Amino acid sequence: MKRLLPLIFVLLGTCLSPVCGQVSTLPSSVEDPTQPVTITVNIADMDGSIDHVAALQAAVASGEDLYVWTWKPAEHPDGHPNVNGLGAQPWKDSNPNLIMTNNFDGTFSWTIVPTDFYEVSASDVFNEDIHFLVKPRDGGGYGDPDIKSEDLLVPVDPPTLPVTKVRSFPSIATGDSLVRIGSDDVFTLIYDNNYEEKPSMQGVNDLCVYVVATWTDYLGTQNTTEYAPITQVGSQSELAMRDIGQGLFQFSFWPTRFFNLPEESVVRQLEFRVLRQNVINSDDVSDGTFIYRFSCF
Amino acid sequence: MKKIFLLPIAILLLAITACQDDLVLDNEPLKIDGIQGNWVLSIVEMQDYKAINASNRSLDVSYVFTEVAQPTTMSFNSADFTFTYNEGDNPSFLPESGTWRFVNTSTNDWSANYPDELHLIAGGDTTELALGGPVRPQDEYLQFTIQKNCPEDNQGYGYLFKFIRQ
Repeated sequence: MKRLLPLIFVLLGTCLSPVCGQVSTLPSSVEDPTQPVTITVNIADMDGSIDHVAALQAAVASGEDLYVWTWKPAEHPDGHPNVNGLGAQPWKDSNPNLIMTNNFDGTFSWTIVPTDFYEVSASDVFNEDIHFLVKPRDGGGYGDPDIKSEDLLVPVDPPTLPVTKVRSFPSIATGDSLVRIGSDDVFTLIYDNNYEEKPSMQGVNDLCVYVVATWTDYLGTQNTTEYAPITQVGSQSELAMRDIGQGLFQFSFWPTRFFNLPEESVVRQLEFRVLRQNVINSDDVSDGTFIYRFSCF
Repeated sequence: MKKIFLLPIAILLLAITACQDDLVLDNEPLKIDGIQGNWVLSIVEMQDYKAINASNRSLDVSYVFTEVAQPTTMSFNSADFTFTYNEGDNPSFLPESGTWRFVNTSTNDWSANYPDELHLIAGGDTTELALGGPVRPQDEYLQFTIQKNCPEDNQGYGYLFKFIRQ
């Protein structure tokens, strides 16, 4: 508990800080940076005792538009359509592409798909968050008083994923239910024995998979193929999982070749069970059937 | 008195160094010489660009590609800039034959010595492969990334292929 106290204070401090209240998002927590997010800033809530903020509030009161100026997770270079400012004195000439929508209630909004706008990966957004400020087109500077908000932050964090003992590679995207690979791609099942809940399966290392493919032929006819009956998988060396250390086991294969499917076949779904090669009874089979549906045909 | 001795010694040293041949540096080996020859696929890492945890973005899947009867091979000719690709028993990710060139994407031009991409041109199509490291004559591996993408997925995935020199 003692270790948690500082964390709790930090979290409380973050959420209670003035900056936190000035920025809101829709959706309220940004967990998927590949989807649109609307960021809204409340100018009236900003601390008017700061000179450049007071100047910003005055600019808004006089009807000026506001623009975003952003530098993380990436800052676009000169010449880019979404560069922050234009010309030799960019701070005095914000990019019209970065104008915010005036909601006429003291708030201004900006809608982007973070990965598209910043041209970075989702993981880059998770690592860096979104850092920006808002300003009128002419933000002062170059000898004039600045007109701007304080630096603002939109935290972007992945959803807390449930820890699972089995996962795929490539992974299933956030909010998705499909493995987005094609028929000429390799699929991998990864089993983490550290999260095995069944005592009789904990610490074992002679593991293999039972696998069933659902696929369609060139006519679109659906078929289901079991590679080997579950009682015989232990004798099929090609079904063995490879121990990659630290309790992790890997089964990688090219399904089209593995099941010897006819040309132009498309794998639609794979179904797995994880079990010991020396399977005797249900004690030697990990609980659960693991099903992965495929996209990208 | 000391200066009298120093002057002849300095002159002597100057004369000796002046007679030495100029130091000539070897030219940097050309990458086009380095890629010449035959290559066999030996290491494959699959890459998942949308994985949330950095530790889950790459996975060695070499055995799927190497534990086969017919391995994947490539050959490059640096005289006429032709290549062949034989997928063997593996998926045919690349064109079977055509011409190749190195490209430096920062200058968007051919680059014999500072390429960051290898382009394979076949049937009017160009396959752009990001080089994973230099391929000088002394380098053991030719390595590049094949990026793949589903139309509805802007994150994508790929393969880092490492071919070993034969």
